[in-house]
Amino acid sequence: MSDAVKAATQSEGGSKVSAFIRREIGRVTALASLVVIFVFFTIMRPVFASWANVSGGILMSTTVIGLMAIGVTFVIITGGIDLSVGTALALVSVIVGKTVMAMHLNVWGGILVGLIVGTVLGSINGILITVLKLPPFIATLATMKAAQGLALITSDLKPVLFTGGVKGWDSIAQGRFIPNFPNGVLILAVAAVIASIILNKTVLGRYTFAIGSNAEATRLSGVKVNRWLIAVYALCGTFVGLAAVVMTSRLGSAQPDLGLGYELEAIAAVIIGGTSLLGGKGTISGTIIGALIMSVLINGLRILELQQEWQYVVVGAVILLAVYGDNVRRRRAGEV
Amino acid sequence: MKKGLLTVAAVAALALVAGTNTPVVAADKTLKIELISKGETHQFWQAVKLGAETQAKKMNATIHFQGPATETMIDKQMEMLDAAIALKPDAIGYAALGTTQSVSHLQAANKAGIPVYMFDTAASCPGGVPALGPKSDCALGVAYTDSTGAGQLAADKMAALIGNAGKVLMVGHSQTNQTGIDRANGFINRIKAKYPRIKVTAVYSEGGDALKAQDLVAAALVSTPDLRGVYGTNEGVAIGAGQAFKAAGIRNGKIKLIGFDSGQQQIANIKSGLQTGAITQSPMGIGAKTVEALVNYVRSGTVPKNLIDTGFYYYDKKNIANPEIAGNLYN
Repeated sequence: MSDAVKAATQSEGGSKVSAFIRREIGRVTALASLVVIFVFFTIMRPVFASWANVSGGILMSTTVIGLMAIGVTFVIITGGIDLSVGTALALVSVIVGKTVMAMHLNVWGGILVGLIVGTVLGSINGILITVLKLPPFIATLATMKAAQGLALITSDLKPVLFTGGVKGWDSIAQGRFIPNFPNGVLILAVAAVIASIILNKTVLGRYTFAIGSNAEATRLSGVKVNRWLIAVYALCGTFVGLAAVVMTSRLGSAQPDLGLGYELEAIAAVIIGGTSLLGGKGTISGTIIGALIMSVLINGLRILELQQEWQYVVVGAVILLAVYGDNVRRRRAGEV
Repeated sequence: MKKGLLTVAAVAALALVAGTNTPVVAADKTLKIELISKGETHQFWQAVKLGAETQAKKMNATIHFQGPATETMIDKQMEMLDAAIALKPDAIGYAALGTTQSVSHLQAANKAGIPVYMFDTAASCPGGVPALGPKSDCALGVAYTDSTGAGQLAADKMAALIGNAGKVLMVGHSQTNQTGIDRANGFINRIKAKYPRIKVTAVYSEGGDALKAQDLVAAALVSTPDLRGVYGTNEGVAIGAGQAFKAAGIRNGKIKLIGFDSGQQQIANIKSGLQTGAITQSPMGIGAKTVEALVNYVRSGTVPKNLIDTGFYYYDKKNIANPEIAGNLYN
């Protein structure tokens, strides 16, 4: 949060509640929009709100993009961008599939491979950006293409099937540790809580905001900015790795040609959730709300059986509205 | 203008060649045929090769089958094509990677008196497919899968499975790629024309994205509780639909699912009963019909059709092991 907002709230001397609303206005608006959209679809077709649709349709379809978006939130708060998360998703899932099948790993081994490979891919981005001093857009555009190619090469252009050899791989996302609550959704929820703690309660989180607000000032105050940036991109990769594991569990296989374009959906979720592309500002809960808004829209429009082409238009309009709304708010707050 | 004159000259030259050198070769001579494919290692191309070899043996011919390692190596394929022409075989079969680049090479083959028939993918010959034939300076014709017909077969099978009535969902894999469009529209138009009691809804998972297909089908299962069948136009879509069925606990054919092509997961799903069946192209047929057209032309001057449909099959749990099906499936 910027000093300008603090000053504004303090000068008005408003109650704590109004200060809270002012501070959280981005997220509050996003949450309110989510509720309005949800209620709208429920009125149009009550079956939309059935638990079968909410858990199996909406929440499950949020898992993969949601996990990726959590990772991307950190990167965007530093003022950077990661375009490689979509194809990295494909590459990690193919590597996990090949490794698990070749080495007869169990579920936990497979998850670990996914997290490690994702983290390594993320740190490569971090190194390109800090050591080679490439702009994040260019560096991750390059790794995006490279990951796409490597996913196709590693898989020999064929999906990797998790056959009966991997007991319980389906259950990672589709099992029910809590009755009637798919594990994939549980993983997303737990990941969101952990990410929130990292962002708000740890040194890494503090520096994530600091770098995004003013990288130069952060450097001058003695922080090893490069090292922390690499850590941020690596962390983003970890969440992408987890997303890849959940995706292969949902599909029962790794699909090498899947994932291109997912990076834009993840970035859209982050932006709708009120995180600024300029850096220095953002929340995990906002990102989750953003991801939910998109999957509620897509699922709801399908349930209403609206012609699919219009779906894309509606989602585009929502992204525009969200960003425009954020701009207006910040101009009023004197941030821009 | 100059190009027009050249074409006229080329056609005239070709007519002259054809006139003086009627392509008739005695049956006891073993014909040599060079087949330049888009790939070699992929199971699809292995099946094309097998079909070509089997047909060649029947007709007293030998084939030499080769293709580049990946479908992006257009230059490599052009080299292979040039080398094949230099060998002066009795005929050449060609699957176009460089759809425009290859045209001049094919014209060179024709100038050298080597008949060419294309398979799987046509090069952009002057005048397109309708202009192909003995008078073309490019190729005699092309053999490939009639995707519209394949979509129609899926519609007939679906109709039979659900008793000609009810709601079905068509999940396409592309609204821009011609094969994708044909597989989808073949299905939709057949249902509309022939089965008035079936209501078909169309959605698309662009690029055959299995995950998006899963979400689409999951939503359809909620919005349409009386859904009777789902048709997916490629492997990815069929996988996604199968996974949506699995997650919703739809098993043993409660809702019918017809996919396209094969692959490990689809085959496993068909065997387990999660998926009802699928349409497969006939890569063996592509190889066989190409060789048949070339041998007949060289040996007896029989002019092949400029467009040969190489066929497609519906397969399910019952006939999946039949030789005519199994040879066309890949993991």
